Amino acid sequence: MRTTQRLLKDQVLRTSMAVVVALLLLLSGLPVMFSGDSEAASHSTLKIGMMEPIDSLNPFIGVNDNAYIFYGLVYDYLIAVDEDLGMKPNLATSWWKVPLSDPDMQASGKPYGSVWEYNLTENAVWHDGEPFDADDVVFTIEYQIGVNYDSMWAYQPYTKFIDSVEKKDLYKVRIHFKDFAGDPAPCPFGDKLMMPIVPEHVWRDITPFDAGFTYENYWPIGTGPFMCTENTQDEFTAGEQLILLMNPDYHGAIEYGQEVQFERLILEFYLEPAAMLTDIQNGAIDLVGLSAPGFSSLIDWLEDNPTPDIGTYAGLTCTSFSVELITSMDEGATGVNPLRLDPEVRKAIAHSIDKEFIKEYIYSNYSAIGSTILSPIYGDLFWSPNATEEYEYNMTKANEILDAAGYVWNPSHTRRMAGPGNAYAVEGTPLRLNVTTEIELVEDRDTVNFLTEEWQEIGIELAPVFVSSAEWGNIVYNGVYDLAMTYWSGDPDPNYLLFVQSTNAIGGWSENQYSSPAYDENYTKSALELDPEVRKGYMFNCSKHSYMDAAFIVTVYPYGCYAWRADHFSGWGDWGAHPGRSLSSFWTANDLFFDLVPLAVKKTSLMYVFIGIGVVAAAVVAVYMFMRWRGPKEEDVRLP
Amino acid sequence: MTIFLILSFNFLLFRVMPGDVTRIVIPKGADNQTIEDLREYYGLDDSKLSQYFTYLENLFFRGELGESLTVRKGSEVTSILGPYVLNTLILVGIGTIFSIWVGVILGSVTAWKRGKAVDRVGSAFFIVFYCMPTFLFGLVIITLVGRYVPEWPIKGAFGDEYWNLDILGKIGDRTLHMLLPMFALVIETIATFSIITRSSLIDVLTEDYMVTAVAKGLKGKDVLHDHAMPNAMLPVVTVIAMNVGWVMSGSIMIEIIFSYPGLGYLTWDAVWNYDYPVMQAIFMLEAVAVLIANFLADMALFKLDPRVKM
Amino acid sequence: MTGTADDQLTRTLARFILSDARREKARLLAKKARVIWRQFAANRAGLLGLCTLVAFVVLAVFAPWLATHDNPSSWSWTRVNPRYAQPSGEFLFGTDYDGKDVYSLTLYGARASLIVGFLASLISIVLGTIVGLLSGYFGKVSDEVLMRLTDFFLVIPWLPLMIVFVMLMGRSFENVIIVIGITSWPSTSRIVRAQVLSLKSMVFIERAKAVGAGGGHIIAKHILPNVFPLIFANTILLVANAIFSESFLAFLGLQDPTIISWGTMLERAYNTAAFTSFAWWVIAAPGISIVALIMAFYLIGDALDEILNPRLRRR
Repeated sequence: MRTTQRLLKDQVLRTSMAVVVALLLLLSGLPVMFSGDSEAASHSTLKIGMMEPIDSLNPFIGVNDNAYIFYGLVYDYLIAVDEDLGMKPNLATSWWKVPLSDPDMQASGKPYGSVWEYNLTENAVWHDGEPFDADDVVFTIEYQIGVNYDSMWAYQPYTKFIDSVEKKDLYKVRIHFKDFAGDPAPCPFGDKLMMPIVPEHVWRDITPFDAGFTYENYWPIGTGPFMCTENTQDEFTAGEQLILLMNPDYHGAIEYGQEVQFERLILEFYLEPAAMLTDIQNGAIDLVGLSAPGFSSLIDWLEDNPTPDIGTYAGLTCTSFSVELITSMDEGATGVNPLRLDPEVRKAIAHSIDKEFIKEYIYSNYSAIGSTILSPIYGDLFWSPNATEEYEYNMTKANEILDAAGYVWNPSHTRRMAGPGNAYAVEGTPLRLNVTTEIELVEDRDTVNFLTEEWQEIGIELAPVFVSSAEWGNIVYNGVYDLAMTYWSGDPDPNYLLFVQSTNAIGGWSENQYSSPAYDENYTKSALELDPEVRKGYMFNCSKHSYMDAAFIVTVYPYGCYAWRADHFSGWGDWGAHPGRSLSSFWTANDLFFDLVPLAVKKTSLMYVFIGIGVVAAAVVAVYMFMRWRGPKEEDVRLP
Repeated sequence: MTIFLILSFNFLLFRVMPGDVTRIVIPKGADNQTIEDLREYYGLDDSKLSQYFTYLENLFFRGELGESLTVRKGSEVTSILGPYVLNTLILVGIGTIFSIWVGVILGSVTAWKRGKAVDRVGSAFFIVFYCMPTFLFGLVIITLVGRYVPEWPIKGAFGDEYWNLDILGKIGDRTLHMLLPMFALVIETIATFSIITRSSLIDVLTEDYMVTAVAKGLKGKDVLHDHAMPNAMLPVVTVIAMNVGWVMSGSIMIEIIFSYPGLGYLTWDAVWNYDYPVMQAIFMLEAVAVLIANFLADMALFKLDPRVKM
Repeated sequence: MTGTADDQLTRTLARFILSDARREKARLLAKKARVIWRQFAANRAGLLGLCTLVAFVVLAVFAPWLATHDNPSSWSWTRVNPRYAQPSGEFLFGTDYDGKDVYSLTLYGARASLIVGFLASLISIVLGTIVGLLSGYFGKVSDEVLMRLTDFFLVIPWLPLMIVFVMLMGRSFENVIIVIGITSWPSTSRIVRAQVLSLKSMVFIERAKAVGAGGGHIIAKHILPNVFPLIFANTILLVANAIFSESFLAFLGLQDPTIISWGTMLERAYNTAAFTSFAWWVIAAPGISIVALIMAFYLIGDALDEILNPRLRRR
């Protein structure tokens, strides 16, 4: 008995010692690491902090904004976006609508503007060394149209209009466009096809179905300014960061003088906004996009600790990011309140949203008041209502509208219900609307809670349904909701954002089954109109119809809020004057990445060494104290 | 048998989750044809029973756990899990061993000095940390360290240079990144184990045979190590085994707060995104881990107490 | 629902009081309670816990009168009050990002925490006792089935399981309570089962059986009273656990965000960068409250455990 216990005691002791030794060994690894760190400091690295890991390395699968940023770094598009949101050459060095005098045009009789021609660069090389040519462009487009259209869903808003693609010579392609009916039709946005061009030699063995749904693409090969590496797969599955290397053979450097001046670009993924904010304050990352509360916290902090080292910018996003309250217009939906279909109810709702409050308090002023889903970033294409059209915030008016439409208060005056002869629901149906909201989106959640409280005044009972984004999609796309909070963002051409509100989008991109003949008529014309001024007129009509129908009530255009380290890089530029420098301009070859010049940074790795030594010392002292503490004194301790 | 039942429960649990998976795979823009293709691909139109058999068949005969649906679309779950399991194993494994070690020492010290200042102060600390929610403690730490020791890394399992480092450098890098989350994680488990050890030891020390042992003139140290500890360790081992699941739960909070990519982080990601193949795999792994821990505890009990039958 | 439960309680109490035998029994019980109380009062830690708990209950019940701001979660405060105001005479615990008064919110938050704590552990104790009784007393197939079920809940770490359940059932105050209840019963059922197994072979049960008493009678009259003190201390710890679970679920965004609880307050603070803004009061008020309340339950449970089960290991 005694011996076994002795043995056990020895074992315990030995294990303990082993643990101590192991810990000390681990800690002694610290100095080694620091030497590695200072060595690595010779790399010039741009680190971008992000809240959400990219969802796929495959550009036909990923959908979150960070994934698009990643694709824009690795892949090239035919045409890129410049710092003023104009178009600039990229893989296509020049482009035009094929004139009617062209023999092919004459032979086919296609209308002017339905065929675009693109001259391609001869300098581009895929990251694996293969040369780039017209075959890659033809492949990329044919990969996504025709029978492959259903599987390759990612760029459908563009491929929907592409009839075919034709290789003219090794560095020249033509794209033939069509309308909704499939007939040749002019395309006003042939210079704004925002889709990455992928290498034929990598993708030709992958079926479109795999490419659209399951292919991992662990080592993305593009022609863009940054390259993935053999570690990319590990980094992606680990989900902490993605390390991209500068592409020394980038064609933009030769053609347009767009040369990247640092060696690596790291995307750092955070799960915790506080950690990300702390890291930009401390300079552990160089560029970051923040939430409105995070940004206002940083601004407050900068007020107390003024430093020239941190630059900030908050402004409209280049993607026309907007947040809206949508009404389900699906008349066939069951289990929802039919009163939502009453235009008078929607008008009353539109009058009782205090957008000023939402902008000022919920978004801490980092947003602009909204009208339609085309934000002012579209410049003169932005439509805003005039004084007679506007649904201004006015609860009295909202109450009047509801009174006039025959909605009566219940006896306790807490809620309205349908009056006699209501065209949408039987008398007595309560004006109770659920609102499906993504719980992850804090501002949406606040907006809904705020409206719930406010609308008590007009007798509409708002019942928030808070769900995860995944579940939100499920509810909304199946049409089983009254109201929902949603957001939209688009591409340089407004066609996409106008398309999603049209009848054509029902069964696909449409979230609320909105369908208006007047809207559709204008939309169809705008999608096929080459003259910018005439097209603008159609677009204005679309915006106006959408606004007046109040099925999409845009609350605000939230700002993109960014902060960067001016002490690590120079050349950030003026994002306010040139919004295309912002991180939200992710359509490849963002000028920002070519202007950034790394500055000499004093590394504080010595600090680490001190901390490391301190920890080791503390551990040793603690262990020693314990041994001593338990040692001699125990002898004279009596049992309790 | 237990494993098999757990697998079945897992399957059932995630099949009753609301929602159409295809809508989750493609958030926007899918038309009906695309959705149908997808349903066919994932075998969602088959009956639940045949889905269940496919699931078991893939698992047992091919070692496959299916494909991730959302978080890392299309990737094999088995290929995703690797680094996450490793990270959690390091954090929870070392954390548990460390907290057992420290917890038992602190527990026995305070028990031995029962009623004295050391015990009072110690016990008060144990109780406070035992009652302190781990996530709260983690948040306080991350805020304070971020503010006052800005150079200290507060996110992730390793730094940016990790892939370029040699093996020693990798270990060092991981250690540096692990210290904070580890600290936040073990503080509660140390408190738990200390409390258990303390009360268990106090019970043993007040037993008649211990009093006799002292009366017979045995020295304090010998009494503690030879007679009291082995007996006191019995309940401690049981509790520690039961606590493995608790530590794992704690590691979820820590992993989320310190952006530490382990199983907890992955669970969180998967749950929000309805990635049920990943969730199934994680639940299976966690169940296996707890079973192994119980088995180890049984072994330890057997060693400690010859009366316990295996 | 509460109405009927209350009625039942009153009726049961009335029946208790009316019968003479019961009166005698009640007298004995009261005597026993007095003894326990005296022992409890001698335990300073337990007493401290009880005082804290009573204080929180009082705060929760009288929250509307004690609060300095009516309807503290209303957005109307946002227009009036400053953001992140330091604690002062006007705002005892300062204001949060939305300009809402943290002191008043904390008071109301105590309600949610206490309700969750008590109801969830009630669910868990009822479930656990039923499962433990059934499997322990009837044995055989029911034991096998129920214990496998218990195994499942014991083997899967409790937190991921809770997260998945809430996701399944949807975010609401009731669901959070139910989920905490149904994920925390296995420990109770284990204890009950073990106790039932050991009681079953005891003489007085055998005797009752010999006299012809039915299973229901034996469980109600002989087993339950003996199981109760054992699970009582455990229950108190379950309450603490439930309060903690609620705060964590809320912190992860799995609670109905319109509910005022300490967890949702922390979540709000977290989402509005209170941690990096160093608005410590926004975090400290709910944070310290959670720790204090959990500690109160822990101390009470510990003290009761010592009194009720002097020779039994906790857990």
